[in-house]
Amino acid sequence: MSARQRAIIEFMLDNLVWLLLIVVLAAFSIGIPSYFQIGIFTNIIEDSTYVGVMAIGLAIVIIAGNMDLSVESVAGLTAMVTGILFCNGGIGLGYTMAPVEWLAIPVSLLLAIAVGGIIGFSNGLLVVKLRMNAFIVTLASYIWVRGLVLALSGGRSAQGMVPELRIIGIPIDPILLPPSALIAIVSFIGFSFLMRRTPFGRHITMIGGNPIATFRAGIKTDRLILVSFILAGAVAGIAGWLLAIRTSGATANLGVGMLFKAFAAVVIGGVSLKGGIGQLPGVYAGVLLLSAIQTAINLMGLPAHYTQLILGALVLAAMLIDTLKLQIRQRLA
Amino acid sequence: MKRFLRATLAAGAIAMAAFASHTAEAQDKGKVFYMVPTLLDEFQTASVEAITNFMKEVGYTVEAKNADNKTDLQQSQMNDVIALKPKAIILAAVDFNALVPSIEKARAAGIPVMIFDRQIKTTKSDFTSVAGTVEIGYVAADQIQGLLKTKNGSVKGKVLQVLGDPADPYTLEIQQGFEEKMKAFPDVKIISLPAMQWEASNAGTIVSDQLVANPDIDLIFVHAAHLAVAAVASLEAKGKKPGEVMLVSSNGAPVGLDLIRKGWENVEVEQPLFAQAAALAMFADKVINKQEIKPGKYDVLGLESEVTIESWGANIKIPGAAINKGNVDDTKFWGNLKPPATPIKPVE
Amino acid sequence: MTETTPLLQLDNIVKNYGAIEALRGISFDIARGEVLALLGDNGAGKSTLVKIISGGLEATSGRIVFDGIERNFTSPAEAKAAGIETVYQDLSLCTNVDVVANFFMGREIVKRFLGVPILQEREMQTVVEKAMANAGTRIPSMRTNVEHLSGGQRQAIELNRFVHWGGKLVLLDEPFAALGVEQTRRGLDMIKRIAAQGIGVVIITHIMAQAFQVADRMVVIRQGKVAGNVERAKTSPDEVVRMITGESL
Repeated sequence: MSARQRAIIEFMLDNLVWLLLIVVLAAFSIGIPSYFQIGIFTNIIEDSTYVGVMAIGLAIVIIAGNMDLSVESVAGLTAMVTGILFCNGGIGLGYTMAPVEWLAIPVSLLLAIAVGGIIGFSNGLLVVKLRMNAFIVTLASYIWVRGLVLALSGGRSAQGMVPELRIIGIPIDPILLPPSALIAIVSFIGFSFLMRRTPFGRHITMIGGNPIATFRAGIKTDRLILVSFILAGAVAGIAGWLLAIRTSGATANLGVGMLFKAFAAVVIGGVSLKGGIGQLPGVYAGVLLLSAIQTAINLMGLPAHYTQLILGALVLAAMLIDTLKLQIRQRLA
Repeated sequence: MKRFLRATLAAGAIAMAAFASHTAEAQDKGKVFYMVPTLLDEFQTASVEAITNFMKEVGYTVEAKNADNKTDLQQSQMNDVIALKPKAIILAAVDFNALVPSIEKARAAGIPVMIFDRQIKTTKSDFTSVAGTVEIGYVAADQIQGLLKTKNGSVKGKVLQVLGDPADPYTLEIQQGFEEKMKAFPDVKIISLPAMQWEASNAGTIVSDQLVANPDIDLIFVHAAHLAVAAVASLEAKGKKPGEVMLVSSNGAPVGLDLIRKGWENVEVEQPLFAQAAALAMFADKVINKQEIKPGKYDVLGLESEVTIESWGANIKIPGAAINKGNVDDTKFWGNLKPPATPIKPVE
Repeated sequence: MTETTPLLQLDNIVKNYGAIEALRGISFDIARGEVLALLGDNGAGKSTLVKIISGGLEATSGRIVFDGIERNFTSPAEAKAAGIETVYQDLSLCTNVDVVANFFMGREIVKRFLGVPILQEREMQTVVEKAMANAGTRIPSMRTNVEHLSGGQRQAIELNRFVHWGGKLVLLDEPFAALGVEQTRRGLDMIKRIAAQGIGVVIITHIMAQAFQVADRMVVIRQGKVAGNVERAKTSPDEVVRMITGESL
């Protein structure tokens, strides 16, 4: 096989999920009445915002050869923090930054990033310094962070986001997308650039491939792994912030089940759970694909239990695709 | 962060102090465990407070065990609790059938089991206090028929029904009751979709999608108030004004009452949490002392409730109330989070 | 410092692990451009010695003079900065990225744009192509992931990378363990080419034939001591085996 042919096949494998997305969207547009319209497509993009942003951090940690199960709970926590501070109903305290009200946007966002980053830092520290297994460390965080949400809220909800924050979730007229969706798209572009075009991304990928080699080459692997966890936490923090804005509040179980979707998107998007392989644009396509299918289920009005059957089958399909791709790659080698 | 914690703790402490002064003189008759299925929603969280306080008024100390929505965890908690030989166990089962063996084991050990909120009909228990989930569906149907008639001249139109988790019998029974009563009106088209795991943003997505696919939706019926919050956020994002699309919700959580006050929501069908909990306290002495419970009508916190003797034992069914803008501030609704002023009196 | 001063001088290196003496006074020199085979049975102290040279362990006592300066490396990074590196089979490359990325691992060429360092891919590729061509190594594409390359090609990348980044002494641990006959032959050629550029090469191997094919000198370690230090021309495989096992002549 020539290098050129190999390059083409590699390119196809890398972008398989985009291809799949186009096929699925076309099939749904033909098969499901009222699917083919701008409003549905903007819904798909908007719906991909929250899981999508969460999946960015998860993907980076997985590419670095680790695992972060805590992202869902972290998003739940920052959503609750945002909700408690900037909602005026339920348990919300209804803070405003008057007289400069728009300041609530950067203040709440930075707070969400900080809270997420701190949890990511503690995860990373345990993994790097105490050499604890990332799966276990972040499983523990998945549990205790959700517990913290419960403690903060007392199991109650906040509702009625202050208007200066709500505008992030309300579509802008000509493009029909809310700023939140644009934040997700910009995040994907930014982090894709970070992963592909900067030494940081290059090193993270190499650590996922062979941590010993990178360590021996003088790359500060421990520091980078720690940074990857902080990033995952901070980005999950943004996801939670967006989630609170979208819901215009926060409930104690907000975000529950998103870890599964984020994982599915990451795997469907071509990131190998073994580490070192995968690109963020693919992950975004994976999130869009999941959301396109979920929207189709919503529109078809399938009986309740079908949703779970289909989502379960999707995850299996994702794993099969992952294995299949690995086999094709091995045959190429 | 610290500040919230402190604020939350302080609020909790004040509430506790208020209840404590209320009940200072009751004598201690022993310990009762409350097996709560989860603390991730407002109803369950409030149920712990309500049961603890009402039972205290009649002399029992309640300790709650949270099963985190896990059947196996609740089963093992039951085993542990049985070993501690409490005066009674109050069970709100994670799963209706899976807890049957645990109930039988407890009763065989001489510990009475009171069923709270989630009905179990397949085995004998000592006392059951439920709202009647099917009945919540009935009340909702009745209210929605009225709303549609007012808007469209007759009972017709399009209703989006957002269920909770499709694996939860609670939501399925509300759906059953609702659809049973709506069958008589073929001009009402009902679209039903589940919000997986009762997660609010899932409900938001459903509403966003359906507003595009079916722009002529007249009314949205969500099975819990916290889902209504996300539904409203989606309505708002689509440029809808309060009241433009009608909204009905069930369970009566505080956020639902807020939405009524703001004009987004028309009716909240309350799950009568306070009365359900109060009924347990009213009959606790009889259950624990193994005395006979007589069928008939009883007044529970002002709600006319009926005790019947069913194949599974004594059963009290408390009607859910419809909350609207007119009565939203009434303190008898648990969503206002003000415990009733009159202390609970045990049934003689 | 002249060309005749040894590249590396080991003077009475001792390493104790508690009461156990792993190395009991090792002394020998390596000249520039010399290929030295380090031989010895398992547990003789070879790997301890290699780690001390490359900064992975610190000696209990003794002197290391490298490039005319006395050194006391406390980490592999320090040794590497001075120009000493160990190349372990499969421990030096990330097979999930391409040749260029591996060549520049940790030393990427970047240009700062608004303070953000950005990889200069084309520039790096040119450098790698030139380095590979100079060493006579042929790899189809510098953009191929290393997992698709043969063992020999991988070794070529490692050694060329080492030379390119100013390496002076390379320690090769069982470099041909996983290679076929043809690849081994090319590998041996490459080692000679590298040595010809004035670089010191230490090969740790079990295979006597390979040692005799490529090494200028044999140093045998036995029970923590130098049991033999002979030029290839003045010895035979049989004699070296006897040094390793400690049988008397």
